[in-house]
Amino acid sequence: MRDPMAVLGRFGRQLLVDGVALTEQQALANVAFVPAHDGSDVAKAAAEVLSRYLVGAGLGRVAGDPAVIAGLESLDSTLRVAPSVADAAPPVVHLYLASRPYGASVDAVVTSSPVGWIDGRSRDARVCTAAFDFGDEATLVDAPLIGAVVAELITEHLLDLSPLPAVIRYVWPKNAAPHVFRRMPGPAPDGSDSLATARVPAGLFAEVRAAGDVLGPIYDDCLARYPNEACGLIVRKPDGSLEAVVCENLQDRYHALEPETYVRTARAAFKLNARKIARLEEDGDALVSIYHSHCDAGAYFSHEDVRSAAPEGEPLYPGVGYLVVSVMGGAVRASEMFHFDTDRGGFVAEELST
Amino acid sequence: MAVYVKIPTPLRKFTKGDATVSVEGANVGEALKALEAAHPGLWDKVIDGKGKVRRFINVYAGDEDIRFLDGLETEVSDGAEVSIIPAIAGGQ
Repeated sequence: MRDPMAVLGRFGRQLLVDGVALTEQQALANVAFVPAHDGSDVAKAAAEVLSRYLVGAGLGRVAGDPAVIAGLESLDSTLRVAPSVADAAPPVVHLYLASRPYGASVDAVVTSSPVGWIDGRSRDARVCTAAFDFGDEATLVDAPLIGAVVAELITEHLLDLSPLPAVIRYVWPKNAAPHVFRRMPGPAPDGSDSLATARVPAGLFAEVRAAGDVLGPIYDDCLARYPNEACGLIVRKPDGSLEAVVCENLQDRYHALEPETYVRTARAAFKLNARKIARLEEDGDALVSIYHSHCDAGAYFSHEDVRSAAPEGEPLYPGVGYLVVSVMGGAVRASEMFHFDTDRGGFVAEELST
Repeated sequence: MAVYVKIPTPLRKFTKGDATVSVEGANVGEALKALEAAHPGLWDKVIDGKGKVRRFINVYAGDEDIRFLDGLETEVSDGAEVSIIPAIAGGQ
């Protein structure tokens, strides 16, 4: 059997999120993982690898299933293991691993309460199923790959590098173990999967982060508005400096007026008074970015964002960056700046490293 | 009655680059029809097949979206400013 840790060694990436090193960002993470398996050795081994990676990377805590988490604390003194499922801090990712005749499957269920899902009381569960098709039953040799890939998938999601589709299918022929990043192309619910992993060079976002006093007011606004979406602008002043302009989210007003057109409330949408831009421009300010928050969702550029920003395929505000801030459980988790990429014909996130 | 219609950058190709067009009209609808007569093609960019302002376009009379006023029937006074502005919207 392959050494699980050798497989995990592929994930030695250094990422910056809001200018904070990944390790620091992860230390802020407040996610509990509850791995469970169907009793098969493969699923158990995969769960162990998965738990080691997630918890060892400081992405959260592991709770429940003593058979899986036993000994994890002894691996690394920095691991945080919750005594029981009930002690898991939300959001909670419940991971169900099962060995199947064709390979294996992993259901990741994200809930905001540690036990609500088990009791059937949780109303906000989100599910992603990863199916691993090896052509026949998974073996212990496959287990580290399964665990590592799911760990990578969850990491990407937690860091808001890409949205999780409802179903992801991996097809790996025997004796041809692929690189773990090779995800089978499949349509994400919002059709954004192909653009989700692309990046445009660092630019505006790097400048915004370096400015020091621009992201602060924006994050404060996002937290103040939670659980509704916040929105606003970033303008360049005549002296070249950047400034955040907090705006009112008018979505509820539009929803009340025309609920059939504006189906969503401010909980999951934003609309700001575009006249604001004209007034700012009269003062000599130039619009460089539009920001809004996603509540209890990642910092991805959603289908709603795409069709609002470029309803006919061309951006309504050419050259303007879209900053999306993820707020989960009342805390800012991540943010990404998206730009319209004419070559790809869609919105692509800006590189985070500088 | 002169009304000044502000044209957003993406639609200025219809106005030969002009950011503001002066037209005659007693309400927003009349002003937009006069705009269409002077610069054909703009109406369809702003108004949908049902005669309503397109979802991702906002038309303001002064600082207020005409959806919250009388729509295209919103009366305008001499020298009023009507702004066509792409919506800024989105959501998770």
